[in-house]
Amino acid sequence: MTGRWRWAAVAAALLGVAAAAQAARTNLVANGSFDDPKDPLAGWRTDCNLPGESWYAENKDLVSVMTESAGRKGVMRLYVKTDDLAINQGVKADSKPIPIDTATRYRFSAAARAAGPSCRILLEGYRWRPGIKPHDNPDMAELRKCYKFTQLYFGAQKAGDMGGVGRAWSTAQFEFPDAFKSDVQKDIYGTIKFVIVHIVAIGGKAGDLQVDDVTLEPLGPVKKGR
Amino acid sequence: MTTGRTASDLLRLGRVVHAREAVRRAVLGASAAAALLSVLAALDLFFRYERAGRVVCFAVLAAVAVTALGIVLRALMRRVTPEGIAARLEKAFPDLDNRLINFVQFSGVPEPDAMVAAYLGETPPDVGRLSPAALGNRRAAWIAAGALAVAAAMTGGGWWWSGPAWANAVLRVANPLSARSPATLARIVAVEPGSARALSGRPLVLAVRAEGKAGQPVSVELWPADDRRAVVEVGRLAGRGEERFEYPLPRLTGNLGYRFRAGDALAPRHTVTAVPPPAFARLTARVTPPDYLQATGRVFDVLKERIAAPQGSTVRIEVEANRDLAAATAASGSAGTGALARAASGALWTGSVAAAASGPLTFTIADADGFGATCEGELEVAPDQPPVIRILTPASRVKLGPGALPRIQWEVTDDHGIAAVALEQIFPGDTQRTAVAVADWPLRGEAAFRQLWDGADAAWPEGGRPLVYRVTATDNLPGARAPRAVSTLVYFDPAVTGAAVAAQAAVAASGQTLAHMVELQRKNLEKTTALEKAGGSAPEAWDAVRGVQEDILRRAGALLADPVRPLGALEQVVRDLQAGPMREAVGVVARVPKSPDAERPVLARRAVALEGAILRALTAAEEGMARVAAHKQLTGLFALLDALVQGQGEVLETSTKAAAASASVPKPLVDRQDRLAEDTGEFVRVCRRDMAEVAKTDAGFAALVGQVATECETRKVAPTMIAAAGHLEGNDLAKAVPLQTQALAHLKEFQALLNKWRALDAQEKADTMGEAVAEAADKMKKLTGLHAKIVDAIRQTEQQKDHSGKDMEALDEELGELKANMAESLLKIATDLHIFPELPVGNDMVADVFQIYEEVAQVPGSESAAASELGLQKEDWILEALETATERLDDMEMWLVAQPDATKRNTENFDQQELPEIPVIPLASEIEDIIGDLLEQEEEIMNESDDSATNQGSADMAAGWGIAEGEFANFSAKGKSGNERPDHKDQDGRSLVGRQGMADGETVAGSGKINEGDNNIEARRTQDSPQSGQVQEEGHADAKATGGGKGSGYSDRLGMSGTGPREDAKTQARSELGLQAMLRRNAEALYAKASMAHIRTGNLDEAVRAMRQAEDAMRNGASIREVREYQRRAAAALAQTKGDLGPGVFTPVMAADAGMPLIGAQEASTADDAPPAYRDLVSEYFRSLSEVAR
Repeated sequence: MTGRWRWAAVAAALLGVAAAAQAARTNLVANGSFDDPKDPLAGWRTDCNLPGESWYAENKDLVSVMTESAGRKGVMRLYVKTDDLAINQGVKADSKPIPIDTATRYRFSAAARAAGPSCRILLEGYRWRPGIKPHDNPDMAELRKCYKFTQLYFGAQKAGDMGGVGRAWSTAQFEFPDAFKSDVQKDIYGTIKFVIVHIVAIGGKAGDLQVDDVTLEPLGPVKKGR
Repeated sequence: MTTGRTASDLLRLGRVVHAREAVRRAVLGASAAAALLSVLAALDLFFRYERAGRVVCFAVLAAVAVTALGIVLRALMRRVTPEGIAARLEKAFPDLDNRLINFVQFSGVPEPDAMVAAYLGETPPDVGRLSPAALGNRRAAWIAAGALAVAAAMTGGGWWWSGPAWANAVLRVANPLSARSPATLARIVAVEPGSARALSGRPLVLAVRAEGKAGQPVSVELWPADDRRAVVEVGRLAGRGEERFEYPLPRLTGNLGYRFRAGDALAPRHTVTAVPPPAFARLTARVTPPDYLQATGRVFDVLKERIAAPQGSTVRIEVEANRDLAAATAASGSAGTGALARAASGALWTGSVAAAASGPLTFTIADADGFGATCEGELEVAPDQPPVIRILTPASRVKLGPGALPRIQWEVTDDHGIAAVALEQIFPGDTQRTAVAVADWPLRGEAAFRQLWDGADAAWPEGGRPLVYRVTATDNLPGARAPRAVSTLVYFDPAVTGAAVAAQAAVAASGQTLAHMVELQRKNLEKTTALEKAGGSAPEAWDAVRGVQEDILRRAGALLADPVRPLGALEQVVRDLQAGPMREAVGVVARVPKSPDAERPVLARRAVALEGAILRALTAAEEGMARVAAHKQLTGLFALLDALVQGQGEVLETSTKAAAASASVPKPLVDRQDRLAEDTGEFVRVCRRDMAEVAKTDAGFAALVGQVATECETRKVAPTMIAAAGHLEGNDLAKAVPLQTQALAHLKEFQALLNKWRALDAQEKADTMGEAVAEAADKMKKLTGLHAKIVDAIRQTEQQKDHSGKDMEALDEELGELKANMAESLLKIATDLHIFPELPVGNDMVADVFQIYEEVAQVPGSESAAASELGLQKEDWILEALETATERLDDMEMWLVAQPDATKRNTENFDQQELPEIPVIPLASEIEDIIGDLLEQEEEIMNESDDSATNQGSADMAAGWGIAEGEFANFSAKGKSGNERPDHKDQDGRSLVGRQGMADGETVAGSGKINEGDNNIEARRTQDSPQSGQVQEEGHADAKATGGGKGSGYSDRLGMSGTGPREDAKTQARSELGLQAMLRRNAEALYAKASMAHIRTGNLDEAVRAMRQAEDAMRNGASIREVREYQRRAAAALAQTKGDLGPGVFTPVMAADAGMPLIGAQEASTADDAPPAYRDLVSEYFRSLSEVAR
């Protein structure tokens, strides 16, 4: 190989690595950074009008996107208007369904801060509702919840009912799937077709929960033995 | 042309050229300055410079302008020489061919040679004809013109784009010292609250009013003291004039800087200073009662309790705030608003309020900023009520029998104390109704006073008129305002001959009434039976039946209302009959003709059954009337003799004392001795009359009575007493006392004779009764055993299938398993099932049940967190919610808990009677179940954390948050499998399949898997009935059955039901109930003993009845007021009994005799007017109204 071709090969390899790295950082969450120029909340469901959601009739009015907050641009704000709201249903936002492959490993992460309420940010697994023919653009009414993943813990303790988010921005993440603890878990996990990002500001007191950079990245095939 | 001329022309031309250069430079400089000004103005439109920015801009602009000016001046000031100009001309006009420059240079030679001179002699080029324009830089001129055009375009464009705002911006840059505001496309009209002070912890709304072009965003920048900067867009201008935008803060936590921006308009930055709200640190009221109450004052914490103050008290208010105040007030409805005065510090304020009337007290505090707080208190003023006088005995107007004295027992109570009590006599003939004080008792503010006046000093009015008394009581309120209470009048009719006969007649009449009622009932039963068999629905026939039943009910009421109480020991029997079957029979018979055909036979059969029961009870009562009459006869006889003995003893004692003191004999003593003599004669007559009656049942005792009468006559007891009375009248005590002693000795001898028989008779009766009770108990025991065997056999038959086709091995295996189950069931006692309400079985199932698995990260260390206890009392709202639930509620966010339950909830359960019928809430079309892996928990802690069984529950609830077993049962199937083992307790309600546990409710899931749960349970053997439906079990779990099973389950062979007897353990009775029951039993025993010994029982049976009602009320969880009312009645009846058991015979006056209407207890209300549990109360109420009215 002549010197010129050698340099060309090196350049091609570098480009390939860069492309692979870019592919690895693919975020499956649409508008996870809340910076869609047309609709900052595009890709998120805040208007809760499905059967059984009467508690969340005013939810839509309490979710918005902030231009800037504590150094971050484009931040989803879940405004818990009253203490009563905090200790009851809270304020929530769900992403649109994201198709996943249970044979693939993923990393889920998000940044959050809160002044007042606590929070629960987690992925929820869904499968097709009985009688629905699978298609590419499912509506929530066509899916049925079957799995709830571990929530993101922002504090030092990675356990508990709430996410432990503080007043400063912090990022939390987890990867899945992990080793299954029981057959029930394994069986139900295998039925997941979609996940949604479920964010709810709940508990604590009235105030804001702010969320940014919600990402779900595929990491590659699940290693055997998991 | 001369040389001088040329030079001057050149110099002139040079100056023109320089001037033109200066102009060009000036144009260029001005253009640059204008362009720069346009740029700076444009930037000002966007950035809205503050003063500093404007100065900087101006400085830049000025620098450019000065530079341009310098360049211009430099051009103007450049030195002009003829050589320089000539050279430039030569360059501009090549056709001059250097002649001009040569001429200018040669002309400067001081001594020109010939050649130069000749050259100079020629005509120089005509400079005047040359155009200065030819010397200019044409390109530079074009550049200057272009720059000027650009500058003009920029200025014009700016004007075109933003209009007057452009000029404003230009002027702002041009004059940085002017106060001209920046021009904007939007305008902020106002910002609220601006820079202000606001209460910390309270909500705050930041608002801006702005106007401007549509589409421009409105945002607020926030600088919280405790957080980082944030920018929030609060809306966009719609371009419709002035608009308002708000940013609500749920809670102000600290100082906050903020600034609104509307499009390109920027409001000044404001600061909200957070101040803590003024609050009541302490609010006390010191109540000082008026002196006469002799009560100590008390300090109330108004923030926690009501102020209770006796009327006339002084209430001193003390308010202490958390910081200095500017004002404090106290307002009451009666006294208006009064300002409190500042005390030792600005935070402490005091004042006084008069306790004049009850009502709310409103306290208000305010600080210097105008922030305030309000606290509502309540002042309850207790007015000084007049004393309450209750005459305990006599209960009604009475006729005094032989030996009886007008004894009065009363009780006076007052809320704050009594000053004096007096007994006054009113003489019937006195038209002025003047009250003469008989006795008085000065008191020292006692709250209660009870007195029994024995009537020994009663002054009998002439002409056989009744004795009339009243009791008065005076409150201890000082001054003339002291309330005074006066009792109802108490009447005693004088003794009349034959009173005992009248009483016997009343008993006989009652017997006849009973006999008549029996006859009426018998005939009516025949009619009812005939109607029932014929299936008749003729309203007339049933109306006739109902009329008779109502007549029987009325007659029973009249018997019970008779103050003579002729029914004696049978009174309770008739009372129960009257309150129960008689009333129900009237209602049932009335409903028969109005009922649908399908229900009529049922009601008719019920009517027949009730009438049969009434007839049997009435017949038994009628048969018992003879014994009642005999008992009353004997009791009256004994009472008469006892009264004579006691009366004669008292008279003797008084006489002896008078003799010893050589005092004169009072007239009442003479009268009393006279009356005792008359009563002795009456006693003899009663003996003679009763002897004949008693002989029918007890010949021996009849002979004894005859013997007493004969002896009494033979020994001339009555004449002896009359003689003694004569001596007393003559004040000859020495002769009277021996006669009195002799008469008393005779009477005591007769009394001993009769008492001996009385004791023997009571013993015989007790023995007979004991044998009867023992025999009945033995029979009952045998019957119970037999019944249990029958029930067991029936159950076995019902629950075991026909196994005849199975091989012996299978049967052996099954038998072994059944035995094991049986042995296990003997150990299992369902201790709590009795608390559960009647399950509203819906028999509805949900087929679409789906499961969600949830991952949970358990909190480290939570598996060993120590167990704690929590007491939960029953609340009325739970019952109300149960009653009002109608539709299914949506749920909230739910998740599995990350810490195992370590709280033991001890729940106060409702009595079953309190629980309403639980509504069946419709089930959802699909139900989700959430399950996770079991949390780790130490076994010992898990056992310690088991809750008590509960019957607090909800028909439905808005479920949410952590999924765990709580203190509530739920009847809408919202429970989840969760990630914890069920508590080891019986669980009521409606649910999914879930985890193995001690269930007692209903399963509504059409399918499900029994997951791992409480492993420490045993299959239960109770009388739970299975509900309809079939559950499809997903996989088979070897679980143990408790309750809530379906009619069709997993197995029909292994057996999920039991055969053991229900082992419901009742909770231990409360001590109050036990004490009440013990008192009642003691009273019943006393009543029985007295009855057997023919001793008068007074109102002891009434006391027993009231005690029983109190006991029932306690057991049923009735209000404490109801219990207390029954107990009060029992105490009153006991007190009345105590008074009645004094010497002498009393005969209550029938209402008709006294000329006073008296509503009978049972006539007070008609059938079905009140629930059975309240009929007595209602009747008592109406009766009390009647008594008040008269």
